[in-house]
Amino acid sequence: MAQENNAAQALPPKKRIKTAQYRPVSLNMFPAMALFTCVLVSLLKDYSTDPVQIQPTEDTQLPRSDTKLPPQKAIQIAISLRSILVDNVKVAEISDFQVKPQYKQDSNPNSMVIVPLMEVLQKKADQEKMIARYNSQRQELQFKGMVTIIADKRVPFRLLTEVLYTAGQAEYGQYKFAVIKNQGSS
Amino acid sequence: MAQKPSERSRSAMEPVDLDIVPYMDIIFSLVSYILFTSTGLAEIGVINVNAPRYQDPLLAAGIEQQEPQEEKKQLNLTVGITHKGFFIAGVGGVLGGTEQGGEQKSGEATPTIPLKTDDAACRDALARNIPPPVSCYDTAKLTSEMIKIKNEFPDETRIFIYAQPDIPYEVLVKVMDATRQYKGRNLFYDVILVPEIA
Repeated sequence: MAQENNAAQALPPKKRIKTAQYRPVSLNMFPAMALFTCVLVSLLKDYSTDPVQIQPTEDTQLPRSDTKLPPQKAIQIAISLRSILVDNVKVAEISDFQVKPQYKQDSNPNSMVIVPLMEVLQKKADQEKMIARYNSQRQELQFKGMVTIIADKRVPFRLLTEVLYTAGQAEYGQYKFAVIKNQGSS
Repeated sequence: MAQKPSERSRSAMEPVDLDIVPYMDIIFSLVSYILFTSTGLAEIGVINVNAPRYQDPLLAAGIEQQEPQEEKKQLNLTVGITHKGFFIAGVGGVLGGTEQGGEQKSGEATPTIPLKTDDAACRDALARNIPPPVSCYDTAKLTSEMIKIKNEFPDETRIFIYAQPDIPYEVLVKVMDATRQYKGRNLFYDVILVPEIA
């Protein structure tokens, strides 16, 4: 088609009108459609089976690690530079790497207990225990007290331990720190 | 509309193209959404950690734990992360620090593994007593110390880790990596966090 056009352009104007043939060209989109469908199916499969769903933001940059353990389904506590979230619901605000005092027990900035976080986790623990009670035969539904911690790599140790301590008070004593696996560690 | 057989062969049957543009739009939108809202190709893993311990209630009450039948060596391996480097301690005491040019100031403990000081940022952090960058910590040396300890206590898997309050989480993860495993050999993977030192 390109060669024909070049040939037509080389002809004098009068002949070009007679000889040039303009045929509509339709782009074959089926291979692209097949490719996109495959990509979509693959992404949806990963998206639905991944137990840790992380929204990458400037405030939540995960550290890298050589760990080989895969994530497990558990309650997620995210610690960003601005807030603490439980299963994507904000429970407390952070300012200057510290939980604001109004969220602490007795508004004491030195307290280890973050009150709204503990209340939410206690409710979740009660729910999980009730589910476990009615499904005593199913091992996967038993209460294990497990939480996944999704913390920004700049979060200070003190803030991290406050969250862990509060979770411990709400009967969650097993922690899984979510990290990005280094290449070659899986 | 039904046609007679004689007319059917003469009728102009034009091929009908399937309009896939709306379908392409939907697929493209979905792919874009998933790519932007997921972590992309980064693979997520987890590190197991146990609950922080403030104090052993039995030790606090002055009661020694009864050893079951045969006497077992208790290591209580502890790694402390500070602005100066790593402190490694066990039940017998703190491992001696290596001096790096200069005398130890009176009253100040020397870390078992001091910070690397070949970088200006590390020297600056050390001088100002602020949290140094992750690269300043000598995690390779920490791993070699852990291997030596593991050779002495092959059955021990537990490690206590504490840090100064402003040490970033990233350093903690690096320390857990350095103490957990080395070339497929398990070292100390049963991590217990201990808050906090002033």
